[in-house]
Amino acid sequence: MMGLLWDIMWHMSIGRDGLFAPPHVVIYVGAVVSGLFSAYQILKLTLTKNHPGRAQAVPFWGVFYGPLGAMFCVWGALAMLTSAPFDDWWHNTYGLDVQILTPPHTILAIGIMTVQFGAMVGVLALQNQYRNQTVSEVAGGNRRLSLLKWLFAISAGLLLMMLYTLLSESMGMRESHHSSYYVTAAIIFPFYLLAVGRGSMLRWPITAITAIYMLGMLVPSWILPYFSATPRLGPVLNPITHYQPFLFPVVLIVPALALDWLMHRFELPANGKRKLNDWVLAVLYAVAFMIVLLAVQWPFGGFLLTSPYAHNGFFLSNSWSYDSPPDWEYRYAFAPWNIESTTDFWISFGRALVYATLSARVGLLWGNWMKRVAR
Amino acid sequence: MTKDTSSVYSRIKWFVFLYTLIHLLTHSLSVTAHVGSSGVIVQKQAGKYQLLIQISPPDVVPGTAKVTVFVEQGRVSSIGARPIYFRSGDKGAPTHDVLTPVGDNRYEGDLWLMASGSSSVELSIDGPDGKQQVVVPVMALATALRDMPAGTGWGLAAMGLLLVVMLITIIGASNADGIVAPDQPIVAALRKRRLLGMGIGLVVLVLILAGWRSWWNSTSEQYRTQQLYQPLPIHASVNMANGQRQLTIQIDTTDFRKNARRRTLSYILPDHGKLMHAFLVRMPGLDAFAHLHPVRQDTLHYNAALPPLPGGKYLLYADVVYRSGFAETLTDIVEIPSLKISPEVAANAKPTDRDDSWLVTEPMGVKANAVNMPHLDNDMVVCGKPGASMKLEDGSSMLWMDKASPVLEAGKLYNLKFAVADAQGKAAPLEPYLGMGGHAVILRSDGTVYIHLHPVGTYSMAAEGSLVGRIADTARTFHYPDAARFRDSIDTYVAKLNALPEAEKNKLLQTTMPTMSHAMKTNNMVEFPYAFPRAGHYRIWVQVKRNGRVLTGVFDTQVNEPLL
Repeated sequence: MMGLLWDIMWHMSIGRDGLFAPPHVVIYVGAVVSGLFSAYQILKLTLTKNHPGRAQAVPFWGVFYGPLGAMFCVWGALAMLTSAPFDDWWHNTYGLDVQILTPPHTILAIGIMTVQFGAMVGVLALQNQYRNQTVSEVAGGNRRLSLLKWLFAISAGLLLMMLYTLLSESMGMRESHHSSYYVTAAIIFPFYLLAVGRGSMLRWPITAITAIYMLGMLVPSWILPYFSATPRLGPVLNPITHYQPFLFPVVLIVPALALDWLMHRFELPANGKRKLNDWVLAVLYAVAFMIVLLAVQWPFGGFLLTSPYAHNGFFLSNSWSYDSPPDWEYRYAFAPWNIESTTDFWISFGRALVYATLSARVGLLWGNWMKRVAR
Repeated sequence: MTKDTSSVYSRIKWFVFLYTLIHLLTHSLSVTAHVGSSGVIVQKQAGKYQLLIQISPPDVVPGTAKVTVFVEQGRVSSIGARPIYFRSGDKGAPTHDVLTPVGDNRYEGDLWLMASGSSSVELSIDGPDGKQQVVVPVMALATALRDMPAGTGWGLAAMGLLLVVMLITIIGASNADGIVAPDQPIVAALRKRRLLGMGIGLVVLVLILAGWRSWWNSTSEQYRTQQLYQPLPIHASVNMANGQRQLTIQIDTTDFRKNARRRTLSYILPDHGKLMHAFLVRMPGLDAFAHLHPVRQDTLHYNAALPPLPGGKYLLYADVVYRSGFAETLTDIVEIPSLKISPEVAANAKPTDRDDSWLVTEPMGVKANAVNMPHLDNDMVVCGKPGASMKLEDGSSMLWMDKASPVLEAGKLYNLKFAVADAQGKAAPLEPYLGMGGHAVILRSDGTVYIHLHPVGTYSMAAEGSLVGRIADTARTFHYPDAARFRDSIDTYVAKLNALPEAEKNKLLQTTMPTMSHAMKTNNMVEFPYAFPRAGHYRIWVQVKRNGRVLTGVFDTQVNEPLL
């Protein structure tokens, strides 16, 4: 993930990279380590007859045995591997791509995300062993459980960073006054946040995970601009001397707080009332999430784009890639194509509420599954 | 459905799907800005250095151009190269890349061209003979339409199949075995759950793959319609006016509405003093040839009076250069009606432009022993090397000197040398024609390869002038002047140039061309650097001027695939 963020900033600042550019190497190392380690785990379980771990593993094709998480990791690493020759062919056929999302890049991204997801599933299986027992029964159980809870939050936060990075081209500050921004958010975030929220055993899980995501996005962007970088590809419309930071992420922590609060209120009712039906919860969570998101991102997006107070190394609005003309008329203003009429906006936002509800419902279902992962 | 049948079904679906993917891009076209002759070959004198530069632009953009520099004269210690785009100019160019010396005074390197359109490569030469800079115009255009190689296709298909089968299995396991507590045995009742998971997984996966595939299709379609170079279509026609045949070239802009890449038609620049150089060659024998300079009627119409050419079907190639330095060849096929006129009328027929020239000669493929006829093989030896000769209209002869062998090789860089001797066999001094030592047109017998080249190389001098001027200008973004006023000023300049006496016109032309540092080493000889892009039979027309008369020599040669 760090490799990916570095790679994006490398492309914004230097432009040219090779197959073995440092950020790429970081990405490969991540894939290779998790892929090889998981493959080793699976092969060991498969090749060692009477291995005690087999009783806790998942059989696969009647031949292989392995933890579920390791299987996701191997799959992700293989997908990443497959994307390399495909991407190479793509560049030779359609030219080097200058955007994040292309068909071969999606395979790479899905591979990376699956590796991350595998890590999450691995932690989940361990964490869930404690779900239905009192922790104090096991010696040292408390420490181990809280470590597992936080490991899950970190892996969920990293996957959220990846998800947002993929969406960042349509979810930047320039789009924050357009309904498409909220439609995209409605489809992805309720689904993911509620799933990990249910899966986690932390007290404020969604808040913790979104905090990790925000820090994970921001810290590299706060540090890397101190290092020098020279554009090596033309046209160099903006002659920069240092790395350009990526962008200030969506402030998900505020709607996350709201979701956590609602979950406390409706899923663990103190007064012994019956838990609400998941469909009702989905509507409730989705509407609350979308309204809080709008209330935060609309003014904050405007602040990032138009306010001179945002043009600094903290809010990152000073970032400008080498191939963008610095005197562009919409650099610090909403371009006409990113603004729509109030009516159009609210119609689309209404649609976004429906998507958010469906997304939330699937997320809750998926979260239930996460709670039950055991191997 | 059992687990086995489900994976067989998914396998079949996947194969069908991949088969369609692999055969998606089956149409094959070969289009380039210079009708089959992509790349630039430049011969240039810069200070004490004499350089022969070959640049092969990428066939997809962004991509890398291959730059090769042969140092023919001068002591060089290093050569740097950087791309300069017309739009962003000198200030927007990245730092130099150093070319690698590869022996024999040859330097090579790959250069990234990121933006489509008019571009240039600036070479910085350093060494004991001083610092010099040379600018070479390059077109960065997508011209390739590729299929996936079978090996890659099958490899990816196999990986894809493995990934799909694995994923469905994992989804099945996630829904069944994965949620069984570690100490519990895995019971048979889980089978139903597993199959349910796999079924739902398969449906979702097929939907995702279908969406992904239509995304790929639309990207490919967008590449084909917006990125890929499409020549500007023209419609050429011949009609009668005042007892003379008139050629009209009409530029077709109907596609402009849907295509993002429009031409800046108001901003056409004169090259050697002419807005358009049109060549007509009769099919199939390539026996009739004309080099005309149609006059602009309005932005979309050009016309020229036809010289006394025999009737028939002609290939038309018209070269234009835009203000951005983008140069392209517009092509069409035109039927010229036969005209029965007396020799006197024919002799009195006045061309539209005084620099128009034409020639009717033998068709290609005449036997090798026919003296003074153009043909495929050598008929003589010039200074111990194979060559060919051709009698010109005024009684002098043109000799193809230093021909490396009777049959040439595709892809190899040649210096095509032509000398003129008078009737007595003495060197005949040449005069500039359109400000140049000579012009040559090379055409493959089927018309698929065409190039109009000059002793300085295969590029347009107007394009070079435009780019050199752009580099001198420090603005980061180019802004076009008022279209009507620009067009008007160009028309006035061309008209003024045409009215000048020949000597003054040449003088003016030579001062406006940035490359006239190219020395004419022998005053009865012209040299053209060129590499034939493909094997085939080629005809070469070499045009020089002597005693105020344009003379055209015709040579045929065979080009074979290189013997590796």
